[in-house]
Amino acid sequence: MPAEQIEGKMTDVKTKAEDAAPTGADPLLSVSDLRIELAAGGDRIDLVSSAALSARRGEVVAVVGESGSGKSLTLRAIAGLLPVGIEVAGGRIDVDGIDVVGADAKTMRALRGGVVGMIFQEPMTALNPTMRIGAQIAEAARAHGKLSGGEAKARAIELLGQMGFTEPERRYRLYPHELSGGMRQRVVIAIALAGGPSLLLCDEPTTALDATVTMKVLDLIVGLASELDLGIVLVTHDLGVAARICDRIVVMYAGRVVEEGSPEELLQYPRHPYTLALLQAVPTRESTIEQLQAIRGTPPTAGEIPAGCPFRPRCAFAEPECAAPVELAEVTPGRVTACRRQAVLAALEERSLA
Amino acid sequence: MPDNLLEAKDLRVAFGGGRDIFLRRKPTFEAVRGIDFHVARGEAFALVGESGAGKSTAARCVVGVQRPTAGTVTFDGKPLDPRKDHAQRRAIQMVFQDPQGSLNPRMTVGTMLVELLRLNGLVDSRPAARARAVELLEMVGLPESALDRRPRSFSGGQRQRIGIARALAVEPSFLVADEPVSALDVSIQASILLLLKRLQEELGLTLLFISHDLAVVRQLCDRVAVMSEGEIIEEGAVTDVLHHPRHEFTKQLLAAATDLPELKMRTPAAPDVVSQGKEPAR
Repeated sequence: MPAEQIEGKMTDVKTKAEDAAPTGADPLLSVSDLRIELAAGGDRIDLVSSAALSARRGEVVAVVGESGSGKSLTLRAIAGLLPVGIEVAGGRIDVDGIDVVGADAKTMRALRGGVVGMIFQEPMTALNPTMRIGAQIAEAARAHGKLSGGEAKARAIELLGQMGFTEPERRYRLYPHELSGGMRQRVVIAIALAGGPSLLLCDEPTTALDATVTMKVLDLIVGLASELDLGIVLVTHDLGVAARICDRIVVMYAGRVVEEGSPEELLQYPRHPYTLALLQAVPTRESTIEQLQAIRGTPPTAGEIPAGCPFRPRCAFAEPECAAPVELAEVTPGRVTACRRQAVLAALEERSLA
Repeated sequence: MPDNLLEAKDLRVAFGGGRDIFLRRKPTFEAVRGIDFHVARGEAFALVGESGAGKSTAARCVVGVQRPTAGTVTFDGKPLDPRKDHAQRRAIQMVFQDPQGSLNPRMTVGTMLVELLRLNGLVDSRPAARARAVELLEMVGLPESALDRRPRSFSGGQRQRIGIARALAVEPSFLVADEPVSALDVSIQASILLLLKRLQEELGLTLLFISHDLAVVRQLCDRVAVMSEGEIIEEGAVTDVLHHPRHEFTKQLLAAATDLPELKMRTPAAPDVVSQGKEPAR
């Protein structure tokens, strides 16, 4: 009975997770000093100049930033899916003990889908419109496990059930166009999970969806993180999404990580002026337009990133000293920021002394 | 002059219908199911709801790109028919969600604006048209140098500014904005919202704003109608609807909003750098 095998597979994943040393010791994903370059003619343009990221099993990490901050490229680099002409120029990416940067094509094929699952922004373009959704999930399951056709089908039906489809046997036969956006995204998640990955990469998974559907998909993703003990990296430009579901938030600007911390700390007491500026630019139901603050200027384009702190020209706290290079430094346990002036921000905090 | 610049009564739009090749009746889908709303002169009114609620379809009726199946819409006291009434067509302009898709990629911004001004007989010479185009760009916070560039070379936020400049070129009194900021980064959203607010005040525009985001609506609009499945289920002052929603669906919509925790910092007062409630220096 295939279900038992699947059961076996699932417990496999669980035991692996239990074997993995307790919290923090051995991260599932670790990215350090990652540099990604665009090779255009003879020129090399830095697109990502220093990305650092880690995720443990069962942990949801959000990477936030504006378009062009390098957040999506970093994610793609982890799965070895960088576009042609863009390559990793330095640094390390380790996923579950596998060195991704130096890996050969065969290792990468086994890694993608098998160890790393990926969810894209547009569910419609990620699905094959001419194939039944069940067949697409089964295909992904067979690519990464020695399953017979029947076993793969059973696995697909099980996954559809896990994704919250009622009557999964019947839904198996539907085509993507017969589903709503939220349901399509669930199918994409099922495909990403079919190979039994331990790391799930999500690139703006809810941007194309309605608010109420967004919530359901996010809840599903968080549920999976704990249920299947997956490490999840979620790239988003929506701070609200990050606030709602993440254990940790990493803020990227101009190809580097500028701040990292827990959502409670980072969103209430930002220690990087860019994070603060982003938060003040978000309209909320409580604020009026008089309180809304746009960030002046525009983000720098790749190749024209100012030396020193890249946010300096737009920063309300900038000082001449900010022209010197600045590194990420730990300010309190679990909080890192790449700002010389973080003490000024710290002084603005209004912590209740309860 | 009637108080309400726009009035819609029992507006209905159905899609589909007709017969298939075997002459069987095809099912119709009613996207807008008899809604009433009005927009007072100078007011900013919002239609909110999820995708498929019919809010965009209603807005498309107002600009005349969608013909209602039934119902009456009057604009400035006269029946709305922007297809025939050239003055109405000029008076009602639209800003689209996707600035990339709504601008001609082959035309420079200058050519686009100049053509628009000349076709509408708003200027009597090419140099005058160019001067007016520069003025329009300035109004939306873009430099004169933008005239000779194509949409491709602008960022998303700048493209939306161009879209707004184009809408304003024919001096409309009524602006329909369909999700104008939902395709933009958070950091850019704020500047476009502030721009719309300023233009509305300066030019005395009446605004019909379509959005799924109640927080965004709160920034710009006075009154809001919540749509669900083609019907208006709740209507009122924005702050009332936000804080005391009556309908179950509105409550759901509010509960689904991904709110940020409150920033617990004394926000820095550096008026020269961060301009509160004003657009940033460019």
